[in-house]
Amino acid sequence: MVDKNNKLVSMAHQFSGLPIKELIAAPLVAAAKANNMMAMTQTNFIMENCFNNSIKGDKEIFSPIMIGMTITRSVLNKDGTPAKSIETDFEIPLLSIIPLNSLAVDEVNVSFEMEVKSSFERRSTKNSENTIADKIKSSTTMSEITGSVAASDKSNDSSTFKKSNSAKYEISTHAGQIPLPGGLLTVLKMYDQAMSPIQLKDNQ
Amino acid sequence: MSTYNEIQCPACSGKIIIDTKLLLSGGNFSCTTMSCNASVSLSNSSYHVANSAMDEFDKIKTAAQLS
Repeated sequence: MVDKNNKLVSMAHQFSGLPIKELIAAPLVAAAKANNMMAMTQTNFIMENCFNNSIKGDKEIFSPIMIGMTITRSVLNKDGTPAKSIETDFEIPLLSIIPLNSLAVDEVNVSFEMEVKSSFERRSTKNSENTIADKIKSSTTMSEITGSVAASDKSNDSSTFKKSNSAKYEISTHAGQIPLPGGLLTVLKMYDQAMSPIQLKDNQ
Repeated sequence: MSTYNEIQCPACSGKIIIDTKLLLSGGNFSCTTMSCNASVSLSNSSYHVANSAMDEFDKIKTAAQLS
């Protein structure tokens, strides 16, 4: 904005009214909320679909839903010829075969550009034209006077004011897979290890 | 998005990489340990449980991608 004295705009004044906090915080808060929703949805899925819920006394117990798998192992006879394969059934938790991944907004870019251009230009040229011309001619027998008078005055007054504003607000988010939480990985590893059969000893 | 999972081989404790979609369609997956030669597949009796869980998982995954 140009003040009364026709000076250039104050840049600080132009930016003072901007809600910078909201502009930056709002996308980040939105991303955090989205992540929270996705995490909660996945947690609910795991608890509802991969575990059986039972209550023992005053405790709520979640036991994993198991699925049956068959392991096939090749067997060779003593002479090296292939024998009939051995099939063994075993169980693994359903959780182990669900391709869980933590889908989350892992990158938020907020860029804000604002450009205030101001220029003031005053051109003042007076250009008024006033022409006076007169001629005098006087002659007698002895002398002759000839003269001419001319005056010119030009004036032109003009002023120019230029101003431009532009603002650009850009938010880009990227959702990708982030590593599974440590707790869930521990549970999966525990189930994995529990899959191996235990060899009973003589005294067991 | 990956549909691969890793389980421990019951025979040698090595790794077996499983594609759940292929497992549900009757696929066998071999142990990555060269000398093991074990392969695993899903039992018919557990197909329904695993399939409905995967359907539910696909639904929440699609919903997350759309939002």
